Amino acid sequence: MQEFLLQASWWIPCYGLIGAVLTLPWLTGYIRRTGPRPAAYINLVMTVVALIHGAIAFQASLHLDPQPIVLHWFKAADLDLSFMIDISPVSLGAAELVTGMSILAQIFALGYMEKDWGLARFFALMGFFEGAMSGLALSDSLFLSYALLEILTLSTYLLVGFWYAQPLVVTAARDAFLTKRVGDVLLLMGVVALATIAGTLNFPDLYEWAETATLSPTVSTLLGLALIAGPTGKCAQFPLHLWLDEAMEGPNPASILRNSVVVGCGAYILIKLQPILILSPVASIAIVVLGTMTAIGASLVALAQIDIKRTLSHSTSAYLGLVFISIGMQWTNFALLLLFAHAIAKALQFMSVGSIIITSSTQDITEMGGLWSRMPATTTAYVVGSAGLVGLLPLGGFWALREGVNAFWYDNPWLVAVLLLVNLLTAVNLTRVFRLVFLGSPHAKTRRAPEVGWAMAVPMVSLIVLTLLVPAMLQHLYLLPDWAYLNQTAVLLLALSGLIGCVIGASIRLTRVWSRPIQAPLKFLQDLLAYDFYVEQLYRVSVVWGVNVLSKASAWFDRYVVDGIVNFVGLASILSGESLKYSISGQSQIYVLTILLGISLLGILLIYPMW
Amino acid sequence: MLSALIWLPILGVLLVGLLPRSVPPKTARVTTLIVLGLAFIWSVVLGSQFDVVNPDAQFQEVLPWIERLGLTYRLGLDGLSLPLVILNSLLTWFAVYSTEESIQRPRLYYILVLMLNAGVAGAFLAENLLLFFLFYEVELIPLYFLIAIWGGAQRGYAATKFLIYTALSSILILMAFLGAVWLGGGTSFEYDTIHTQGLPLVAQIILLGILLVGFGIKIPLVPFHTWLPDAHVEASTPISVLLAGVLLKLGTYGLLRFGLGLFPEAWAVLAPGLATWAVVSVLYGALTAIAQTDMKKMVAYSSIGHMGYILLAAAAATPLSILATVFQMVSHGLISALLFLLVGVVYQKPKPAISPSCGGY
Repeated sequence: MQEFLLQASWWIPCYGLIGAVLTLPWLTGYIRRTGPRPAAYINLVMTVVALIHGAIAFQASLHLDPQPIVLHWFKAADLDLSFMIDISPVSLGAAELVTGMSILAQIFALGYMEKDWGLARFFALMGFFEGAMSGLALSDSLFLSYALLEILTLSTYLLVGFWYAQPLVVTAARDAFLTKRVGDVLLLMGVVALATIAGTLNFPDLYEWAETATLSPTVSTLLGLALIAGPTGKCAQFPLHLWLDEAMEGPNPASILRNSVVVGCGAYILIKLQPILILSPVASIAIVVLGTMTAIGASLVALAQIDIKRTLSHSTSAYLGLVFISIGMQWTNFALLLLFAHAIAKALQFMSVGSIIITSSTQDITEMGGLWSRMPATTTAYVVGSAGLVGLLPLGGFWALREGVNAFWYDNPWLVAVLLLVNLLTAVNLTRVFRLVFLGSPHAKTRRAPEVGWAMAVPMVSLIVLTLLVPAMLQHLYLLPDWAYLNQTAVLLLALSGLIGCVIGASIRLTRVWSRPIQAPLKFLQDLLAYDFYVEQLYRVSVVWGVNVLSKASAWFDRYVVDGIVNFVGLASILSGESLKYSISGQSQIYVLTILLGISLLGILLIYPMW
Repeated sequence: MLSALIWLPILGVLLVGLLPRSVPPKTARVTTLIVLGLAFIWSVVLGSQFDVVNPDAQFQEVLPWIERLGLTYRLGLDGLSLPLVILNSLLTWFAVYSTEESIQRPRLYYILVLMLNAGVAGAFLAENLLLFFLFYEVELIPLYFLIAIWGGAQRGYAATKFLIYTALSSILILMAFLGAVWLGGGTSFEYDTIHTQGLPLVAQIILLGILLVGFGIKIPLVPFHTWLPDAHVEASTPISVLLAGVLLKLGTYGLLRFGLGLFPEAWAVLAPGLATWAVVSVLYGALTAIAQTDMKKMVAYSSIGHMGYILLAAAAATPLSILATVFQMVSHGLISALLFLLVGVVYQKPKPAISPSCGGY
């Protein structure tokens, strides 16, 4: 039985998709009598099935030796597209994390989206989303992964654009789609190039090829840069980072998944690609540079945000930046550990944020305050989530970051500094948000703020417990370091950076009502950070403007030059015909004269060369 | 067997045309749908009987017609034409199904659609150059009327433009066909008896060039494309579906069948240029599409871009890329048909069909 379920692991992504398909009668309005709720339950049941199947397969994968699964899809001429499915504890664990997060987010959505008329559509999209993500976790073929990334792009578009009647949502969905497309198209170039050069797209064969491959530096650099472009877009890294911030316009339960596991999917692909990226030193450096820029930049930008979801989404970008650094430095263990810890802690934070938003009907943290006594579970969730993220208390984030500090300790001390700085800034920001939202005196929108109902509280509390248990899980999987070999200075520094961050966050002066600093430099700094370093405006005047002008020019050329010539030819023939028609007079002497003139002209032309 | 695909719709033409006046228009619609449904089922049956391993034309039918001209009624089906034949009957059915029931002059409309279907099927099935040419011409006439009668405000302009362009394309194709056969001293226009290898390379390149322009108008390739956006904007939604989904495929089909099939040597010489042309067409179509404000024009220009990919793959002319052209033809047929149906839905809403103002949909 176990063996069978293990070999049938490729079913795990299918459950979510089946759930999405089964929702169709409610989604299309074919069944109206029952309301959209049964659709939600169907998707929940399918996710539970996926979770159970995944759990059994995961257990089995720890002691059984799995056969690689190859699905042949398409074979024509010299093209053989076969999908390899990776059955290993890591991939099944990742799929399990995805389905687990999905089920919590879906239960949460039952409460959060309770009165939404598009409930069925939302759950169908969640099923679709989950299927694509767990497929990505299991895929062992670059081609399949690419296809699933595209599905993720599509479902992100649909989920962000869920409330499509609002103009901001429409632009957010469009930007998310187009930004990710830029990355995806570049990735596709890399995939196609790799298929041609290596002759295969299955990861094990690619690794084998990469060990012996000799490429010219230009080819390997271009290939490497193309391959990192896709994950850069998915993980919201500079320069393709703006969509995640905007995507916070979407429903919160989808944001839970997006900030925890979806961004992780991009990094997961990058981890899978890492043995190929080694071929190109430039690409590795590029990953580290992009990761560093995003990690520090996004941490700073988060400090100036007043939208509770956006400030947390920038911190997601920052953490994924750290993951990028670790992949670039070839410390994939650290990357996986950080992804895992971040996914759980960030999901918890977003649940807490969702509860706050549904209760207070606002996302502006300057309008909040004093929620701690009114919403104890939500407060606990925020605190535990933050503790799990920041390297201070010995929870998931701490151990993950410690692994990183340890990894870079001897060879790349400056990266240790980056890590500590990001940790410090995150701590400052999370403390700032905590003070504004939960402490202080209640405001108009937070005065009557009851704790959320069970549908939202149960997943939140479960995730609190889960976050607290992360160290135990790591211990169980032998991922925690031995006490004897612990680099005590590193641990101390890490905890110190977290502590300093909290202290700074607790001591800075916070003006509740939105007011501007008086000093000009400070004002400039605040604007700079609040508007994402003006990157959006920069894009507007460069890329967007360029494409706009080019397309306008080409449309003008098409309309007035190409079509103009065509119409001119038409007009010329009509005009000449119309004017010649006046020569029809009925007088034979004029006809004779015309004939005579014509013949004389011909005659002159004939004898002209003889002169 | 194959003749059924051509003559079944013609039978439908007679049926719809001979219905008494007292019969409600709905009967004409249902009759058309049944006839086209049968044609579709028949094409699928043929597909299931098709021997995939056999590279030759299958289910061949030969009837002598005008022997002295080299014209015979010879049909056949191979791997290139089979998907397109199925696509043709499928999309025509959907086009008729998506037609409004309250359309003006319903019987004439259905007759013309059926004739169009027969003409396109004949062009895909023909195994004789002259027969292909005849069907290629037959398909123009109903389409001209379909645009000119049921089109939008500028339908006369668009339909005439379409007709002039495509007639020009036909003349060029006929020139190339006659040249390919007569310059080689042949008398038969059967596909498999034509040998252009004996011709000097320059002659081959010239003939191929004429053919390229001829089919380039139909595909359409930049800069011979301006009839397409106009025709799409003015044509009604079902006709747009047919135009983009099926009729443009005649151009790429001809390019592969005759351009690559009859002049492989010249094709190899011109291939780099063709690839460049294709890329220009793709980029030009895509860029121009961005700047359009009319949704139908936007889809039409992106359609131009997507058809360019087919030429790009055909220029490579490897077994895999030829397969890719067939894939792209079918997928473009389905995608553009769907897109035009969607645009048709948006057009029916009371808002103007200008895309920037369509944010709420």
